[in-house]
Amino acid sequence: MDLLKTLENIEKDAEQELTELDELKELEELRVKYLGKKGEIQQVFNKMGKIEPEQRPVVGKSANILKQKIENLINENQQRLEKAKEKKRLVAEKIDVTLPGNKPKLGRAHPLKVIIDEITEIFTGMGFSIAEGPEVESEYYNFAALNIPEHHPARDLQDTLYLDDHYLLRTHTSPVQIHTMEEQDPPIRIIAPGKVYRSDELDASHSPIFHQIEGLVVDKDITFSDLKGTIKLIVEALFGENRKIRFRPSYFPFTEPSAEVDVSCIVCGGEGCSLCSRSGWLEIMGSGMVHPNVLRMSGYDPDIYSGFAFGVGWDRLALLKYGIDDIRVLYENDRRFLHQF
Amino acid sequence: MQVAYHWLKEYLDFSYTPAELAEKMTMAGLEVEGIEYLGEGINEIVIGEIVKIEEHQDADKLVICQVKIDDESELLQIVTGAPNVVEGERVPIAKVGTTLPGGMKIKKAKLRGVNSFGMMCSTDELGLSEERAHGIMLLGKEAPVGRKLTEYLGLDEYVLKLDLTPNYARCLGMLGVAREIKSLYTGGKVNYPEVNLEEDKNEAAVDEQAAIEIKADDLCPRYTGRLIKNIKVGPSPKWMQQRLRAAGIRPINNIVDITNYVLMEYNQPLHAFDYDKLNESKIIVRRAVAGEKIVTLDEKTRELTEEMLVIADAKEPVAVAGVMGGANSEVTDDTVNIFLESAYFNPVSIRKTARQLGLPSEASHRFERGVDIGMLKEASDRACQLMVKYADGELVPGIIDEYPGKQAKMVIKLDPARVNELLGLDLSTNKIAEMLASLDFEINKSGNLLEVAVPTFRGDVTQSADLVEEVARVYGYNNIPTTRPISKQLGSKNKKQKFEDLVHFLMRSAGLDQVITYSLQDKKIYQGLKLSQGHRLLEHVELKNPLSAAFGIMRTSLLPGIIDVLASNARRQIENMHVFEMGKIFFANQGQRPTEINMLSGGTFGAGEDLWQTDAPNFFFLKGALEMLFTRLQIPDVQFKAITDEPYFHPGRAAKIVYKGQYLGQIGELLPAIIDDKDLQSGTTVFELNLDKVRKFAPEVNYKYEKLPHFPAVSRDLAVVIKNNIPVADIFALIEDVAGELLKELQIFDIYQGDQIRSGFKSVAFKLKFQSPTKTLEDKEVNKVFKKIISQLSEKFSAEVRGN
Ligand SMILES: [Zn+2]
Repeated sequence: MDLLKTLENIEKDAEQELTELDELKELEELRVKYLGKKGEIQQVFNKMGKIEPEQRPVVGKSANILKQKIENLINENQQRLEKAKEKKRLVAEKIDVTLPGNKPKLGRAHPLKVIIDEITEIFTGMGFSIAEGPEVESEYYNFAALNIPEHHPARDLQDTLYLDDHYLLRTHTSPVQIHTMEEQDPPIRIIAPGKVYRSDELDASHSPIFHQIEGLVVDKDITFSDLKGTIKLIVEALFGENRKIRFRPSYFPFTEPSAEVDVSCIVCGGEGCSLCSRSGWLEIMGSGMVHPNVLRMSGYDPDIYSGFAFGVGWDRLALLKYGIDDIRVLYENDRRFLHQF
Repeated sequence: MQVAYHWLKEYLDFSYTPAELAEKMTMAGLEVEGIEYLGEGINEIVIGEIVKIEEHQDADKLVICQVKIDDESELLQIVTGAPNVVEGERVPIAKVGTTLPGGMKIKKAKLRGVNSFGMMCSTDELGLSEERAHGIMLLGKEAPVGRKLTEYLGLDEYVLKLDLTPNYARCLGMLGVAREIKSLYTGGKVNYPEVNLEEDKNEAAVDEQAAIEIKADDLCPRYTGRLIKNIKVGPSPKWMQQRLRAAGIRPINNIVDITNYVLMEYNQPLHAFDYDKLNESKIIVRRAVAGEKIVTLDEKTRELTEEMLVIADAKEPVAVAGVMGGANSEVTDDTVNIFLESAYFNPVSIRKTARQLGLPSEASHRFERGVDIGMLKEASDRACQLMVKYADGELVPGIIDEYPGKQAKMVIKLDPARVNELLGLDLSTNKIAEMLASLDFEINKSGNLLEVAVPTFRGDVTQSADLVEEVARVYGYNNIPTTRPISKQLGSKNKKQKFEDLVHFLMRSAGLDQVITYSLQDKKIYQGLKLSQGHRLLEHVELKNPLSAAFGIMRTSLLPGIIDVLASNARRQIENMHVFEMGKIFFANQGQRPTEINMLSGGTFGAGEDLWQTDAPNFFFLKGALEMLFTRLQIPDVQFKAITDEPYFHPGRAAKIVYKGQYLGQIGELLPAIIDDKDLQSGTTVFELNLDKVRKFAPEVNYKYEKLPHFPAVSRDLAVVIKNNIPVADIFALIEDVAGELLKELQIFDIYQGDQIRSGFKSVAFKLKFQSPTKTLEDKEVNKVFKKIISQLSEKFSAEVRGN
């Protein structure tokens, strides 16, 4: 009886069986077959009594080595099989990553809100606060306090919607200048966005209801060059730094000097096109140094304080910035429109 | 105001092209809206003479003309069907190769076998008349053969259309425009018309033949009159007519045209009276007597008020001063002698009168803005010169010049240091003085100050700020540096604005799109809401002078706007839409300032998940959004209480929103009838909240850390059967009340009505989660609370516990 030979055969069989194995559950069977209490290694040990005593240590050692080896083999293959099993599972769980995601349904901000958020950020960064005022105004705040006397041709510049003999719908956001100056002491830095009303027929470029953004800075030592610098900054922030800006003399009863602000046309860049009526320029806001009469009426001494003010057509900014060609689109609120912003 | 380019050149030497001139004027504050070339499209048309006309052998209606277009070229043969050709007439010729304004290109043609080398044109073919003309435009036998038609008709002219702001009254005349360009750009001198008056020495002086009395010198500080006799009314010279047309004024006759021409030159309205129709040859400038009447030139009887200024003769008004003449003193074809008025009237008075009578005119437009009181005589003289020359008038010697309001020139003290402070410049005193002098201000130095005398044509300059603008204009706005004011303050939004931003953000987070609708509405839109009489939404503020009914009232609710948005989108096959709007509503306030309330409103259709299987996904979608809003605004325990009486809501699917007993707003599915009317999707639901009230209850958002629980929670489910009409909120309230502090969460996870529940009842399943901050809860503690809840539910609501 050659137990060493037997061990050799066991080793060969075990190696072959274990490496050919492909199911994890069969591994346990092999473990029992070779290493179990009635396993083949144990059977060799059981037969030790029947061989020559001098051979026993040799066979015993060999049997122990083989036992260890098979244990290692089993462990190795267990790992191999577990890996394979895991891999198979992952393959089976494959998804089509090109299927669309489950999008959260976030609501959109109206483009006018998008613009004002941008503008507000710029101005609050420069130390401005946001002021508000009523949409129904008295003659005094809408006109008289802004240096527009009752029988002055300047009243023709804006067609006013009246409620009665006392109240009207503000034709501009400028009354907020007066409210602010009455309520606050200098230094003043505000912007005042809001709705305004004019007796204009609704068409592609006019609306009886639209939005303006007023700006007012009053302090000691405020200059026309400060006005220019502030406006330049906001125009560049909104329309890019390559925009050319020009200031030209104009007339607003509540500012003196008054300036109209033009930017080089965003479509043609100055060559002339239909948007800019071939002029190459787009009128975007009115501005000027606060008129001394206005300062005086609000209780400020124009020899000590000075200031500048500006008024922007908020809707117009949105139309220009987003290339919208009809103001009515802003108020139609078509879902497909709203979802572009 | 329209400025004709070549006409302007007569008064000032400049070498700008029309486009350059327009640019200069715009940058000076005289905004040019557009440039029109009057000869647009007809620049190649020449004047030809019809030398010979022959009949066409093969066509009755056609004739063959031989046309001379200059001395050198051969005669052009042109075949025409025009009925009015005559030998010797001069006509506009479009030669072969010319393109007409309509786009037609003239080619050599063969008409019934005869060659034709061009076309004789009618006025409409040249774009000179709108209506179709019968025949060729006949230019008369004096028209110069070979000349360009545009030159002959004065159409070789560019017209700059100005949009002048009220402070540029001085530029409502050609001379004023010339002076402005001189001052700002060219320097040099304005060429005023040379006026040499030939007075008729045989006539007695004017003040012996007429008299002027000013009885209202506050409204008429100066009035001048001249007398021109034996005029012959007829057409004015062609050049004058052409210039008037270029200025946008229709020629009438020589007298009217001359007054209009001088109006355009000097910006001074003149009025010609028929001298022989003035009673006692007297002019009295006075206020009208209340109820006094005048028939104006347009043959309408006008009733006057005491505020209005009239020009009267010894008997009655003969003109409404500065606004319109009277028919009784009108210059007609039979007029022989003329009394010519050149006056200054108070701008406010003119404006009021013109408005009250509804008679705006070129004259009142200028008087309202203030004419140059110092130029009245010069304008009058100029008109007299032209009347002598072009109406064969004989000028009575002298002028009556009543000037009770004569004042010294206004002098403004100007501090050059302040000018620099305001503009951000560093100009020397001399430089500033020089700049103002170029604008015809007279300057005197007085210590550190400048004393600036204002010329009479600068009525717009009344204080130093006006001079600061003049300095800036001369310096050039675009040459002033750009700086930024240094801020010592921190900018930010206030609490209200931050609150509104948060609401905005939360609404969008809930999936609602922001909309903006018109705050002026049509009254009719509220009829669509089926409101009963006296409903609060009918307390509109109405506009006194609305544009149209569509924008006739101020909105009392955002809901009509929201409903319109939903309806218009639904009509465009949009399948789902969730929107909100933040804006003001307005309520009438018994003649006081209307109340303005900030509202949040919204609406939805096509919301997906029908949470409680009650076929009301839209309602619970919006309600969920609002609950989330209140949670995030830290306003707990807002209640939704069923209402049945809002006329536009489904009576079984509407709730008012209440906090601490105060009404905050409402939510509801629209009445099916409204949904049908508007083609809305069924189930469309809307809400509104009074944002001012909500804000009052919202604490300033402030977070406080609460220690996280260490001990395990115990969950229990509870299903009870209750009567259908018991609101779930009542069960919630009871459970919370009984469970006390150990109850950490209470959720409803199922509502069931059906086979296993008897009719009129519903099964509601809750999940309760108990947890103690200090210990691990034992079952018996939880059981005790749980039992108490069950017994209370059974006692208060006859609730039966299901499956227990
Ligand atoms: Zn352009």
